[in-house]
Amino acid sequence: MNKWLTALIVILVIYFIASFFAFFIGSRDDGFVDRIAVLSLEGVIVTSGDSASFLRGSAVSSKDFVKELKALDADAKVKGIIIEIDSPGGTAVASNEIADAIRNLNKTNYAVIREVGASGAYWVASASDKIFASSLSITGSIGVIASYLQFSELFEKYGVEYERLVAGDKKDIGSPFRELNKNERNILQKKLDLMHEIFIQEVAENRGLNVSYVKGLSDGEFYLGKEALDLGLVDVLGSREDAVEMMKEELGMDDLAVVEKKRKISLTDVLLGNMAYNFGIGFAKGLSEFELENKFEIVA
Amino acid sequence: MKRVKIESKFQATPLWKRFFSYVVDIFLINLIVSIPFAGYFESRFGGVRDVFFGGKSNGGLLIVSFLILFLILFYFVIMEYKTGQTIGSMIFGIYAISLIGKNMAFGQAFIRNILMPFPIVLLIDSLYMIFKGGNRRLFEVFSATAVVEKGVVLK
Repeated sequence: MNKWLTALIVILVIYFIASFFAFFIGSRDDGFVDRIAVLSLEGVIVTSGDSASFLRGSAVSSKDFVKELKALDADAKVKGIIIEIDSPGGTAVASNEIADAIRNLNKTNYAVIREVGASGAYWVASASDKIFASSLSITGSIGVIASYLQFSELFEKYGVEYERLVAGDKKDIGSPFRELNKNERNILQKKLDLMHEIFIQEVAENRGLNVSYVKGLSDGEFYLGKEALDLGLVDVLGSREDAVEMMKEELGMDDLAVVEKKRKISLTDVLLGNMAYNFGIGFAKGLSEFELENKFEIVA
Repeated sequence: MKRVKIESKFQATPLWKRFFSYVVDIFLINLIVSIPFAGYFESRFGGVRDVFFGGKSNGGLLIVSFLILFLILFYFVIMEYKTGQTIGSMIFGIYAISLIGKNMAFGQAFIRNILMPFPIVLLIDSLYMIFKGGNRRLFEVFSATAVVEKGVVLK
């Protein structure tokens, strides 16, 4: 037999043996050792789709995140889950979806707030068994915002007119091309108040706090980790390492490995994410969506 | 056992050819074996770097490491047993031959290659060449094999 052909066969055999074992190990999803899984929640929380964009910054899809949480919950080798949060918040539905998924976990789970875990991200954190934060972390910000730019006067200045064609008088409520009337403003405010109320109730229930107490903290103010600890919004001032140690102690298992599960973003995701954004999806969303988002930033 | 006489003295294989032949082989085989496990490393440890610098013991990693060592050994043993050459040695035109039979026995191929997955130990094994001369590693002496250049005739 030709030597090169023999070499090719040997290489193929080796490749298939390696692939078989890699598949076997991967499909069982165990990795042979008991572990604490760390799952990062970074960026704005959205329901699905355009998660990756250099222009918009990072985002996390609740659909993907919930899927990952469920997979970790089903993995017998994962004994505990730490959710590492660095997010200013996101949409109400997406935040609620993740919070629900965390509440339904059958495993010990902690949230660790790093730089920011505010608004919708705090909603998510509140659903975990314990919240860790740095004394300087930004958290809280229990409020709802739906502010948007309204261009009607600008359009008027340039002779652009909004031709209103609706069936259903409130169909274009919140349109950036005309002013809200008093009735519409009341309707939108009521929706925001209702969302705020749900947010407060969820946080109170998750944290085992009195609703009226949480309401008192829910004017949208953000709290530093140290303040949040005093107010009962976080449980421990500490880092991920502290959370790992406490979880090991709680589980009574010293030899757990710590495995970080990272979200994979392919080049295609990035390119398509930007493309979709550039074609107006981001623009439209920015104008019309209700978002629980804290825009506050501290640059040190 | 019938001894095979080599017509002339070994045609010395330059050390650099053996070295680069080994580098080509080890690079190739690591590439082939690593590709299927790339996902394993990525999902378990957030990247290959963490495997080496994470500082955590991991049973799964140990098993994967043993598998990779086995596959490297399998490559060298089977290639030299079947053809007397690896891909690296084909490129550089050098051969592994048996000194006690026309064809290399499986056992000989196994013994001479047993250190191939361990480059540091292989280096120590290769020091024998420098101190003893004769262009043979210690495990080549044990296995009664040698590496020669193309053109050597056996009788």
